[in-house]
Amino acid sequence: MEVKEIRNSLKEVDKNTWESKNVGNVPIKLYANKNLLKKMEDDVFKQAANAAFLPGILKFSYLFSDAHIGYGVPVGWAGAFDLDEGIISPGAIGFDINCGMRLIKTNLTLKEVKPKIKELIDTLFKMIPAGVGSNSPQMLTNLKNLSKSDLKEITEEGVDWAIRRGYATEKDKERIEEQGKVKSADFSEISEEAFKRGKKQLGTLGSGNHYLEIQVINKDFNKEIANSLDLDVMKEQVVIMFHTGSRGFGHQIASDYIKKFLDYSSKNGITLKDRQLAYAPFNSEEGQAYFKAMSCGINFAFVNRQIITYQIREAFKSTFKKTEKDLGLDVVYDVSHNTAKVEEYTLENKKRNVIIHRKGATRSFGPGNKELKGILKRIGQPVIVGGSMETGSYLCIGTKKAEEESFGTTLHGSGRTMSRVAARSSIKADKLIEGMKEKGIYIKANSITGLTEEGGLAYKDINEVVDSMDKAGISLKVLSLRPIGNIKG
Amino acid sequence: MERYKLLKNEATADIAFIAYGRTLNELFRNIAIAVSNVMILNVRKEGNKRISFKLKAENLDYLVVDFINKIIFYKDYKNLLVTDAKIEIDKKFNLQCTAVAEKLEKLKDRFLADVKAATLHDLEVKKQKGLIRCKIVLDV
Repeated sequence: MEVKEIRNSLKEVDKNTWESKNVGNVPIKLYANKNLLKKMEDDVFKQAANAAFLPGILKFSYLFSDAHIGYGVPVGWAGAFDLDEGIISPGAIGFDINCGMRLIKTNLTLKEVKPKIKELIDTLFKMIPAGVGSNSPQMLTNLKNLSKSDLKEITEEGVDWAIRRGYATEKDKERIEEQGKVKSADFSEISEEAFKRGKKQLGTLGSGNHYLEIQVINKDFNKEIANSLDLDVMKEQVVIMFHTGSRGFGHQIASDYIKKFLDYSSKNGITLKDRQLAYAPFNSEEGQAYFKAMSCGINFAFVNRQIITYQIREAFKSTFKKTEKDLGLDVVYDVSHNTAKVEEYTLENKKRNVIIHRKGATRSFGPGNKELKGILKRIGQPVIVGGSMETGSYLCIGTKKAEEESFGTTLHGSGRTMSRVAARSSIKADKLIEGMKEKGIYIKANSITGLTEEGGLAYKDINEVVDSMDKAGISLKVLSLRPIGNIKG
Repeated sequence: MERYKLLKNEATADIAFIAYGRTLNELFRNIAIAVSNVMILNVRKEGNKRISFKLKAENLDYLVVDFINKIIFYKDYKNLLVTDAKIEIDKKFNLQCTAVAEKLEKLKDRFLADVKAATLHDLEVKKQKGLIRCKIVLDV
């Protein structure tokens, strides 16, 4: 089916919820308002249609309001597959396995932080390595050059390893997706190259769209849920948000297995619509090997974000000369973007496990989900939506409707509108910095040119993107957040 | 002949380029230079480190991907950026590379974007007007 035909077949079946005709094994389901749908690139639909042809895909090939062209499938896409008939595909997960967001609260107000923002950002910049090929923080000497047995423990135990080593608490663990550890990890499926790329990168931010931001709560949309998470707009409370993933370790796992799956396709006579979507049956030896290796990547990223959290706590203690308890640096939540996980859903009135792929998409569980712990069981899972460094971000909450409709999945960010190369020439560095200064945002980056790639102009309107999902009932707005300080790689 | 051209209207989240060469050896040298210039601003032949490696692939497309991924591997593993390379490729897609490289630490103020991997998305190697051109998208 041609892209035009797919677009023309889209019918609004519910508020901001569109369904196409069957384009392969399933139709496409898109969550967006009319304006976002109109502006979405044709190739987004072409890639979602390619995914709809994958064996064992269930119900729909899903697109969210932030969707834009990716490789293999779009960014802002999800697909669930039958465990017996379905597949697993690295291209439908992404190279940066468990790239994700973490939000940390503080007991500090804007009034307390603003006078020290430069000192705080400069300290964080020193303590959290960022940029091309960056290595683990110098001060954490035991992380500088990890051995194979260290990396095996880290990638198989996840945040439990960080607790044992004093980098995390049990309280942190409760506020991390999967409690910071997927059990399917098996280090024996990891290549020598992945080990070598990952062994010096724990506790690093990376570059591109990876960042760390100091933010202020801007507006609340659901005071009750915000207060349940110890967040309060009235206090002009300061929070910390950051975005990073599994660094070179995860990237190498994806590269290794795309190669293996291309070989698998060629040996098994599989014709691929897009080579980037090479796959193996989930239950095959090859599929399981990737699932176990990819799970190591998921755990690596959880620990990476935990080490960064540890460094953030140290930076705040040294800048504000207060104890960790007084600073109240608690994890609000940690969500994953690029993953494939086995999750249970009700399909045709029967509970069933599926392998849900999310690429540039976030889990969005509602209240009562058995995976959620503590207060989250009552209010639902926080969904952290990162915007551009100029325009701010959102905290949302997952819903039962998402579990019923979209395999518990929602958007992940604002979504790009402009390539990095186009952004370099369209966005002037001096104007960007001046504009951010006027907005009261202090920024520290390795490179000014790199910074222009991430200017607000290169992204969709975060308010429109988040609103679309809110009105569709897939993830609901809780708070908007505006930046006052930013670190870029 | 320009070595490579960054593409403005492709790869919304990533970076795409076309590299050119009169021979395969020259094309791969220019691919290496393009990849490094995506990561670091205004890379010229610099540094006194040496990297040598061999690769073999079943076709030219896969050789391009493996070659770029090897450059990325050295960036993470040895913290070395390839700044120039001498390439020899035979008819069976055996590649031998001897590269000049610089320590990343020395290029810190010129960082642009970390490349995660080479993708197969819209990858194309073809002959056009006496030149070999390769279009590729890098995940950043």
